Amino acid sequence: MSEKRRIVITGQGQLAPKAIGVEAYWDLISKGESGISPISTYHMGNFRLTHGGEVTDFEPRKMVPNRKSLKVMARDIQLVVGAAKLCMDDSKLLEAEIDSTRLGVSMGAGYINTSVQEMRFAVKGSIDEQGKFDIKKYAAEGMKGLTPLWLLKYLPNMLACHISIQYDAQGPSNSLTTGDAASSQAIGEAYRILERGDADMMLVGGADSKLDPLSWSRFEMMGLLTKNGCPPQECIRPFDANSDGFLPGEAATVLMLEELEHAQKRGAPIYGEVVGFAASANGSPIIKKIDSRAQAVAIKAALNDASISPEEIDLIVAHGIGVAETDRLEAEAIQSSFGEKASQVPVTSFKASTGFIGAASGGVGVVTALQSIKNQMIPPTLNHESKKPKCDLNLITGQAKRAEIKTCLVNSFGLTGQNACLVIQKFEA
Amino acid sequence: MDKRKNRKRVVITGIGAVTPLGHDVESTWQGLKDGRSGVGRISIFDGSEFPTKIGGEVKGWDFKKMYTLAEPVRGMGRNTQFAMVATQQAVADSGIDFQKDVAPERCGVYMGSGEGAVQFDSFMSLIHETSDETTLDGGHFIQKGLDFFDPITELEQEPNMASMHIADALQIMGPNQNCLTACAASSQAIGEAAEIIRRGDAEVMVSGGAHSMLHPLGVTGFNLLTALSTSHADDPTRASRPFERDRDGFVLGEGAGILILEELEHAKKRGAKIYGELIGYGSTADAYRITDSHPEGRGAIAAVKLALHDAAIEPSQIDYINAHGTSTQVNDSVETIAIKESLKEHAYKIPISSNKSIMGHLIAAAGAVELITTLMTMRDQVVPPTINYDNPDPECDLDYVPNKARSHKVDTALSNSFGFGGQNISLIVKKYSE
Repeated sequence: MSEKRRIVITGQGQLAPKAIGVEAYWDLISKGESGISPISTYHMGNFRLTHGGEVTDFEPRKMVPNRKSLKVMARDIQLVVGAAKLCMDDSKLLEAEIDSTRLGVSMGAGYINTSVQEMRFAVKGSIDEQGKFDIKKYAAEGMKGLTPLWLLKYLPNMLACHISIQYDAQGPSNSLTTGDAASSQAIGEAYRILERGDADMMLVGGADSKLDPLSWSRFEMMGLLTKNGCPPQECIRPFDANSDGFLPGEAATVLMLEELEHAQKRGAPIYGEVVGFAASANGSPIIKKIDSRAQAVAIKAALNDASISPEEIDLIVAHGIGVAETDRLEAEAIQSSFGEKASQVPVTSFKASTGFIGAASGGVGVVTALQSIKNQMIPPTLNHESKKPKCDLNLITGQAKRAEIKTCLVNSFGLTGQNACLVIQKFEA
Repeated sequence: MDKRKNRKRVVITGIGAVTPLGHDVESTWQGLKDGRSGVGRISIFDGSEFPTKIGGEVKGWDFKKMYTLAEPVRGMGRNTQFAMVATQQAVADSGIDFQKDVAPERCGVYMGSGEGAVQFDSFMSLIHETSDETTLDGGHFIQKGLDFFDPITELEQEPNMASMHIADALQIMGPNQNCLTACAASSQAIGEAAEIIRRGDAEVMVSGGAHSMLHPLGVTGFNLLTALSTSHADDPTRASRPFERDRDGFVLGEGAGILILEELEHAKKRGAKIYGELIGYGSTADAYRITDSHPEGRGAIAAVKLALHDAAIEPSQIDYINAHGTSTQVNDSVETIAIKESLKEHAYKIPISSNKSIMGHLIAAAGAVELITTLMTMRDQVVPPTINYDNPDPECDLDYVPNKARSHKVDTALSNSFGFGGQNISLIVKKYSE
C-alpha cells in the first residue's frame, strides 16, 4: 500500500462577477457570457473606464453568518467569508463529527487597500488653515474619525482568521500574499499540509477586490488598463492579436480540501483530486523584465509532482489576463514545457469574463477546472478574433466545446514575479 | 503514517539581520546581551502628536552605501531594503555561490514579509482634493492619482516584493512564497520553507521576514487598537516591559531577519558552517477572536505540543525559550499559561526571554530575527535578558531572565510567535550533531 495520502476536493463556494455560486459561474462562462458590468460600488465620475468585473447581487448581510463582524471586514474579506459559507454548505462538513484541530485554513490575499471613502473621515479633521493636509492635526484630531478596529479590516491574514473563527478551524492557518499567484499557492501549500499529515481538512482559496479607486489608479499608471475600452464586455482579449490591457474585477473562492479516507468515511461529495503543485519565481516583475523560464519551471515541476506527462493534460486553464506582454510570455512557457503538444492541448482563459482578479485567480481557475471536468466541456475564451503572432495555442474560442477531460493544469503567473501551477484530476477511486 | 519518516534534515547555514540594535547579526546580538534598548523617539516621520511617539527604528540607514549584492532597485520600500541587506549578509555568511553551487530551480525563497508604506501625504492630500462634503469622486481620484503617486513606489508596496527581489538578486527560480500572518509571519515562513526542503523540493531556501510599520498609518492602526505602549514618551527605553507588572502595550520596531536553510547532506558536502538544525515546527489557529488570543492559550499550547512532537523530544529537553513576549497585558499572561501547560513542571526550570523588551516588536519580521538570536544563544551559551523587569506580575511567574544576560547551557531551544487574529507558530532548533 502506498503511504502517500490522496487529497480530494469536497466542497466548492465562489462569488464571481455576476455569479453567486459555482453553478451560476459555470452557467455564465459556458455560455460565453461576460461578467463585466457598470461599477456600482464606487462613483467612477468622468474616468474613461466605468465598467469592471463586479460581484453583483452580493448581499453581505445575507451571506456572512456573523453580521456583527461585517463592519470589520474589507470587501475582500466579506467576499471570502461569503464564499466560505457556500463551500461549507456544499461540503456537508457541518453535519459531520469532526476533530476541529485537524481543520485548517489557507488563503491567498491581495494587498488590501484602505478604503478612500472611509479615510475621508480622518482627512476631514486634518486640514489646516491653508486648506492643506496636516499630519500634526491628523495625529491629534483627524485619526479619531476612524473606527478603533480600522487596521484589522485590511490585514491580509483576516480572510483566513474570520473563516477559522466562524468554523472553529483550529488547525494550521496560513495566508499567502504573492499577488496573482496567491490563491494557487494557498491551495498548493494546503495540499502539502494535508499530504504530510498536519491536517485532514483545509478550507482553501482566496479573494481579491481590485475595484477601489486606488487600485484603478495604480493599474492606470502602470499602463495595464485596456486602451480602447469599448464596448466594455468586449475589451478584455486574452491571447488575441489586439489585446491591449484589462479591466479590474473581484472574486472569492473557497474550496474544501480533504484527505481521501477522511472524506470517504463521512460520505463527502468528491469533485476532483489535487495531484500536482509547484511554485517558482520569475526573478523580476514581468512588467519590467521579460522572461518565461520560471513559468516553464513551474509547469514542468507541477507535472512532475503529479507524475504525468504533458500528453496527459486535457485542458490548460490559463492565467491569460489580456495584457499583450504577459499573455505572450505564458504562451511561450506553455510552448517550451509542452513541446510539440503545445499547439494541440486545449487552452482557455476566463479573465475576459471576470476581469483582472489578482489574488483570486487561482481559486477561480480551479473551479473552472472542476466544472469543466464535471460537465466534460471547455468554456470558451471570450473576445478572441485573431491569434497573436508566435502564440500558436489551441485556444478554445467562440462556443464551449465538448471534450473528454480528466486532467487539468491551472496556471497562475503573477505580474510581480511569483508563479504557481496546480494539476487537478477527475476523481477515480 | 509517521510524517517524520524518510524526510530530509534541515540545517541553518547562514544568517543576516537588520534591527533597531544594528545593521547586522553581531551588533544586534551584542545589543541584546548588553540589554541596550534600541527604542527612541520616532524620527523618520513627524510622530510628535500621535498618542505613541516612540519606536525601535533602524538607525542611520543608507541602503545604497550598504547594498552590493545586486544593482539597487529604485523605489524599494524601507522594509524591502532591510530584507536585501539581510539577505546579502546571510548569503555571504553561508558561503554559497548561488551561480555555481546550486541549480537555480532547486533554490527558493519563502518570506513572511509585510507590506510597504503608503505614500501618506500624497494619499491623504489626494483624498482631500477629490472629496466634497459628502462623497469622494472616484474617477477624479483615479485620474489625479497619476500626478500624485510614483508608479514604481506604488508597486513596491506589495508584500511579495522582498521575496521577488531576493530571487532576482540571486537569480534563483525555485518555490517563491510570501505569507503574511501578522506577527507570526516570518516564523511560519521558516517552518514552511523547512517543509519544502524536508520533502525534497529544494536544497536551499532563503527564508525570513522584513517589515516596517513605523509609518503614520501603521502607528494609526495600532494606536486605534490601543495595542501600543503610551506611558514612556519621555523615557522610551523603558517602555517595552514584557511579563512585567506595569506593561501597557508593545513598542513598534522595524527590521529584517534572513536565514539560509539547507538540506543537511548538501551542507555537509560543501563543508558548510552549521548554526543549528531546525527539528520542530508547529502551526495552529486560535479560532477565537480577531482581537484577542484565546484566554486559556488553546492554540498556543497546541502549537508548542505539535512542535515538540515534530521534533520527537520531551519538554525536559528544551533548554531555553525565546518568547513572543510582546509587552501587552494579554499576550504575556496567555503565553505564560501556554508555556506552563505545554511544558508542565519543566516550565519553571527553563530560562525564558523576550527580545522585544530590547528592540521592540518587528511585527512580521519578529520571528525570523528572534530565531537568529536563538541560534546565537546556542552558539555563545548565553541567554539574553528581558529588560525593564522591575516588578513581577503574579500572573507571570516563570524565569524571564530579568535585566541581565546569563550563562546557560543551551543545546535545544524553542521560539514562539503568535499573530494577531490567532495564528500560532512554534519552532525548535537544536545544536547540530550527527
